[in-house]
Amino acid sequence: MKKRSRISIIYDILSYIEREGGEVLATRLATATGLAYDRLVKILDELNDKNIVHMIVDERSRRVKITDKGLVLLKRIRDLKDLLKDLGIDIG
Amino acid sequence: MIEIFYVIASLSLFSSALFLILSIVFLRMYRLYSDQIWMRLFLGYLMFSISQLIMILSILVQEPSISYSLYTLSPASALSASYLIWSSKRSFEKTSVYLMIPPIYLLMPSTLDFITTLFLILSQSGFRGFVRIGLLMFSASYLLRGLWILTPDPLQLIYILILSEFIRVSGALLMSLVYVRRIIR
Repeated sequence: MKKRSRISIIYDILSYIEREGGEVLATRLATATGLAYDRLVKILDELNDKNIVHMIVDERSRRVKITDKGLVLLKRIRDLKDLLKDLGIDIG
Repeated sequence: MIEIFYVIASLSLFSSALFLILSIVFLRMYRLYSDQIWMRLFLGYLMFSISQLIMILSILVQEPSISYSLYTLSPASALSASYLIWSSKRSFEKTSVYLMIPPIYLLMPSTLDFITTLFLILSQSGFRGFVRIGLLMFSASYLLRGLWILTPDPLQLIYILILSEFIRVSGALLMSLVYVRRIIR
């Protein structure tokens, strides 16, 4: 299987959250993006630190919410999709 | 004849500005989300822009030795740009070899620029679409530059030089204009 680029993974995460109305359970996100849960949490922690997503953790679940900055990032990656594809960087 | 060089210089200036716009787009991406990939793409397109400017200078500078140095530096910097962009998707791999590449390329003659660019284009996970076509045109212009050295006839030499620069600037415009139009709507 072809290895996904990091940007492609982030794009998949953000676009799935957006499609689901802006907030999802981390477990559902892991299934939808095909990522191992531990790996997903690592990426989400980083995105949380950069204010791209906001993590809501309670005793029973971990929810992920896309921030305004995350939506801007998603839109800009979409705008660049054609160019990135031609540069050999496949996005979603 | 001189007018043709000015046309090529003007087109190069235009493509340099377009490459600069693309580099700024990637810099803005880096400021939004600081991933290495955006920085490499920013530097790559900035290098393309600089390469076009060097080409213009090589046409405008009167001193032959400086002009020839700039003439050699221009494809070398474009090749560094191609490599930076090509390596951008490998940001997850631990390598710093790419940092060594530009100075090495600076020593290369045109025929090696041709071979190396062609390798980057044809590599398994290389470029596609208009980027691929544009770089193939760059590569063809380097091949012509290589042939230029072998040509004894001065008039033929000038024709080859014009053709080579025209192909190169057309490739640069194709690689920049199409994407700037798509991104900035």
